[in-house]
Amino acid sequence: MGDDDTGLLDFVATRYPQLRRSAFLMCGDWATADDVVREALARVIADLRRDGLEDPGGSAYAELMAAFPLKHKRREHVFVAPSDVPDGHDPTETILLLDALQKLAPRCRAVLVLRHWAGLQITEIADVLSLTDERVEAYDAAGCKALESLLGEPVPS
Amino acid sequence: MTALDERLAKALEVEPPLGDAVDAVFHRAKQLRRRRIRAVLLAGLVAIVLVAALGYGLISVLMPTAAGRPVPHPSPGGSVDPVAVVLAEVADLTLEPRSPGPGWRQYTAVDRAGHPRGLIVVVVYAAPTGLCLPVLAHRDVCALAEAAGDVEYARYRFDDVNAQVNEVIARRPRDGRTVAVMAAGERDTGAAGAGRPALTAAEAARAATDQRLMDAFGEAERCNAPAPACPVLRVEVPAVG
Repeated sequence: MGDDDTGLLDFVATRYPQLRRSAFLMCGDWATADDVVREALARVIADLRRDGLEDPGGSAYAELMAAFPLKHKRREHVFVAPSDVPDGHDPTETILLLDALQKLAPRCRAVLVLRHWAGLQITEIADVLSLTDERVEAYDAAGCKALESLLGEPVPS
Repeated sequence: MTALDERLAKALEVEPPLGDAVDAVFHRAKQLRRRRIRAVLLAGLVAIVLVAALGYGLISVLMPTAAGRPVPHPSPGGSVDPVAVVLAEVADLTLEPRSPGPGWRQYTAVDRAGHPRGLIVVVVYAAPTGLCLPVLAHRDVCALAEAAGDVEYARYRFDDVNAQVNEVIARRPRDGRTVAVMAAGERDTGAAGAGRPALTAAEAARAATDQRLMDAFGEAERCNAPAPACPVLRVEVPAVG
């Protein structure tokens, strides 16, 4: 394996878990999350090998979010507790949160995940989702408000 | 960390193991690369086929002789025979030249199916002072000539099943150049189809009135009588001055 491949291996190994968790929050399903992340990272690697990329991390998030329908589509999704939950872990809160996230508009959900889980800045999120900074801020505020209403408790943005 | 950050982190506490996820990414990347290469090659191939088809189409439209017609045989000197070029344009034939002479050319014709279609004879004359195109029933009466551009001509058909002939005599008044095109089908076949001449009367007229055919002969070439070496036509061109 050459230096380039070692660098790519490090990149994938480092980014995979974070991307996978973001994808899970977007879809609520670990198997789907794995599929989406593999495809997204494979595209980034192919692009890196061909032309190089200015911001591989941002591109990975952009590829990831492109896999989810972000326009005009809200899915009703019923989450159930996984069978292999460790002792002492109550899945109820997780299920309620995933359910509430799924009820948000897709762009709102994407903005909340990227900002509050992935820790991206407003401008980075704007690049990833091809939106203006103002739109990202508006989605963030609206998403938090909607989530607060769904969960029945305050969600500071 | 805000309350939302914490709640999101909590939702991710129970996470299945990664397994061989990293290897799977590289495997997927390899598949993707192969797919992209195939797509590029396919696109290139499609582009080449399109360009070739477009080129062929254009050539067929703009140069029907080159694409859709048999290419006339070059003359012994290596250049293309201009008489054969005109004949090949008016009918879908393969022409085999026979020994030419001053003022005349002869070709044996074979159709697309490979059937022999007899002989085509092209003869030129000089008739600067005018020409009486004969009427078959009365050879001393002049026919009412048809016109194609600045060329006047008369058509003659002989439908004897064993000796079918289509002949056209055409004259260009401005310089008197006169051309006779005779297509004689295979003789004694006993069948109308088998003995059909290589050129219909209309095709013979198109060839005979084509300026390129008239100009395909040298200025000094002519079969004005007496010209014992010239071929004998079914309808002889009257003696001209």
